Amino acid sequence: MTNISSDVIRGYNDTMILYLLRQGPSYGYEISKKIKELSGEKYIIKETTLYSAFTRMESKELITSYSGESESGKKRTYYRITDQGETYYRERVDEWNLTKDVIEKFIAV
Amino acid sequence: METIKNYLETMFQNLPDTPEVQKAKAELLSMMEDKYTELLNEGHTENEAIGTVISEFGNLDELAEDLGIVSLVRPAAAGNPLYSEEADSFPQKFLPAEDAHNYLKMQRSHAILTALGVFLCIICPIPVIFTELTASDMAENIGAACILFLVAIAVALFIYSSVLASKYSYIRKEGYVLDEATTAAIKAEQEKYNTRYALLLSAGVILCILASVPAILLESANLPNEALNDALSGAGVLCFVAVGVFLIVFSGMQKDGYRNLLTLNGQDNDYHSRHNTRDPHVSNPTVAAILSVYWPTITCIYLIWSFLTFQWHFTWIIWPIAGIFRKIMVNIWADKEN
Repeated sequence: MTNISSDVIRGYNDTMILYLLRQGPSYGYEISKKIKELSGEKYIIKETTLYSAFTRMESKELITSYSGESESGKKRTYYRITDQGETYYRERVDEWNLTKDVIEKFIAV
Repeated sequence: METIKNYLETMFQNLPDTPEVQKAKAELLSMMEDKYTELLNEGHTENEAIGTVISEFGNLDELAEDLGIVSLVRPAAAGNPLYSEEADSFPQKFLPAEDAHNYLKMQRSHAILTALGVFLCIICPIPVIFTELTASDMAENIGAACILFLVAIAVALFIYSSVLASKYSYIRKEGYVLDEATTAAIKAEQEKYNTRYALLLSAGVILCILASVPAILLESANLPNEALNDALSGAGVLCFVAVGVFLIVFSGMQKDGYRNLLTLNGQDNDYHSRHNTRDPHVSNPTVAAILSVYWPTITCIYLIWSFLTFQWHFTWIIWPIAGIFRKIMVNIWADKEN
């Protein structure tokens, strides 16, 4: 498997997390699992990366956290996207589309 | 699971026991636990599960900024040439948590000193009010001297407190920002302070509103000496207003301290600058010029008006009016950010 350079993908962690949170509130492990699944197991986000993204986005008020309980009664921190996060997500999508258009012009098969 | 807990414990053992670090540790453990349980349910062996969880944990270095432990993680990295490049790639300068707290402490002293100065300016006519009662020139002169003396102390306090504050002006000038942990800690402190702020501010406003109560009470007390009665009423009003204004200035400036720190990081800045009435950016040159000399001018008008009329119990009204008037000017002419 070709490894994704962590430097390149780091800039898109927020986009991925926000994409998942747009589908409903979620918690750490569930998000990391979905990222793994959706990326076809090509990208596995590290726990520290994920936690760092949560704290950063929470301080920028893109997401909010609240504590809840899992079905098994385990205490968990859940995250929810805010309106600001929604706006930020759309900006990132536009940015990505632009980036993709530009970079693609330089990719030879 | 014990192995994973031990692993995390080892990773965190050299870190300070701050709330941020504890929270991070708990969150990371929770995620690792979930992953471990799921791997076991999928039929992996315990050893496989532990191996996967630990290999996918990541690097604490990544959390350094969020936890405000850069100084702890980086020195270890500093000796390692591999890390130097990475350190350079962080263009942001983080304000050490200690400096941020020192700044808050300074802002508290700054607030007390400034508020005390304002307090002295407001009560300065009280000696004169009483020396007026005695018909002696000598006493009146002493009263006048007292005014100058109190104003001089007040000015000294203003100067000293602004020198205190200027020591920290580098924070903004040199573009420091707060790391996430410090931001969170300061936000928590600010929230705690907000209750105090509300109390102090309401107390201040109530005192100003009730300022004429002593005068009213004295009026009804019908003291035989009418001149003394008037003097006491005047002094009472000034005392109430002085304490009230002290509380308002003190609480407001302390609040500014938290806000100043939290607006260092750009994100909050846009939001707060619209609410920032202290240093509004005005592009209209005439208005900007007026605003820059606004409070000194008001002070002059207050002193001149008061000395000419000797209506000290009434002239203080210039302060609230001036405050409201300034707010209106700022609202009309200040640059709108958005």
